[in-house]
Amino acid sequence: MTEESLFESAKPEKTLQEPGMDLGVKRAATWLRGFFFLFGFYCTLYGHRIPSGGFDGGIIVACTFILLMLAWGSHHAHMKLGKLVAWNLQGIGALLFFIFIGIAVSFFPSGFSSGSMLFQAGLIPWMNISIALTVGASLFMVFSILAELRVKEVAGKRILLSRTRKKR
Amino acid sequence: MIYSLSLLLILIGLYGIICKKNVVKIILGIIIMEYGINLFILLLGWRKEAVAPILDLSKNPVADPVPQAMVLTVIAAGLGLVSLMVALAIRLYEQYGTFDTTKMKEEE
Amino acid sequence: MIEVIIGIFIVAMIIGALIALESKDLFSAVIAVGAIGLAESVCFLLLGAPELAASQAVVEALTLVILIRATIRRDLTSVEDDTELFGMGFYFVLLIITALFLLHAAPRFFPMQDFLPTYSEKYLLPLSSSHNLVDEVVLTNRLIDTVGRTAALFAAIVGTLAILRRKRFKKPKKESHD
Repeated sequence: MTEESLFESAKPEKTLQEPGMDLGVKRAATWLRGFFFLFGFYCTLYGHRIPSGGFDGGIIVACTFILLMLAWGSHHAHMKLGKLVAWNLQGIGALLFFIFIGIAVSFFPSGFSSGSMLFQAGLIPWMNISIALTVGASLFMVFSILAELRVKEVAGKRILLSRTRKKR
Repeated sequence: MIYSLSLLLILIGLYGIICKKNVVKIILGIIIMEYGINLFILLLGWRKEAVAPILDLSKNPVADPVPQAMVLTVIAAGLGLVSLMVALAIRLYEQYGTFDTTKMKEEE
Repeated sequence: MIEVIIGIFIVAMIIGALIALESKDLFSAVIAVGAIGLAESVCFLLLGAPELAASQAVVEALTLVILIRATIRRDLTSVEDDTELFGMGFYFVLLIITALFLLHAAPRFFPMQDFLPTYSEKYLLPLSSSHNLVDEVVLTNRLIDTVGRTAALFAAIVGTLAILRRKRFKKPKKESHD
């Protein structure tokens, strides 16, 4: 027996490769993902009382879905929030923002009342929610595209390939 | 004194844009310049012993909220800018195979 | 006292920026920019802007992730012979012009805190109530600026997705003979 065949028998069998990261990361992310999403939602809804707002809340909600994508792989993350849904949410958020601007300007200045509860504060929480929809969905879409493509040398030329689908 | 230090940060970012050949270093120069500009605009609304402009506006000199409102959306838009530049860098790498601008000029 | 602390942080940012631009390894340059963002977040907190500090911390983490994903490859982590001579000469001239301007304008503009008026103490404080004043200014007083910057963010992200598309635009194959 040669040395190479000795080392070949000592190698483990080829294990099935699971997408994502280790089991410890998945366990920790299972506990943390609900808290992150709740915190992002809280930051948008209380944007008129607490130093946060639509932009902060939207970025934190996008970070939640990026955590899903990093820990479990992109297939699992796209089952929670697909590509078409993210594209439409981005457009719907921008449209709602403009609609609320129109309503607020036409009812000026009683559109921006200065209460402190959620439905007494006028139109500011609704504008925060629409901005959070736009910013969150668009940042998640950008990250999912950047995570999926890479440059590969195929037949002497470099092309941009996708990791998850079949090659052209 | 602090204003001239933040101006120095802007000038270092400008150095990164003009004098570097690698595309990634140019992107880092743009990011440093954006950080310096945000800091300078925020410094224009600062008083000595200033407090954050929330919930109690009568006691101390309050920091000016208008420059903060201007910088807030610029930070989020800067993230979109970085993603656009990185997408361009990926396409450049796919086309020329390198991140060096002088080699891109030679190859063309 | 706070001025000295903020000055120390800004000096740390300047040193980090020089390290990021002059290092030969791309990976350490990207990590140095992340450290600059963290120091800037602490500066925002010391200057009385807690909303900006939270926003800056999250954005620089996402910036780090995007940069590392796109630029670090196995065969490209080292950079050699990186400075252009023509660019250095032009930058030197620019620095001299900036230094001359500052020397001429310095007795008028420094210290800046006595020179700038307080806009909000005149116009905003009699009108509003005690809430998050920054969010209120963003969405009521400066709404046009917010609309413009949201449109810029939207356009940048749609542009990113358009650049990284995989299907190429095919020209029509038939030629027109006129």
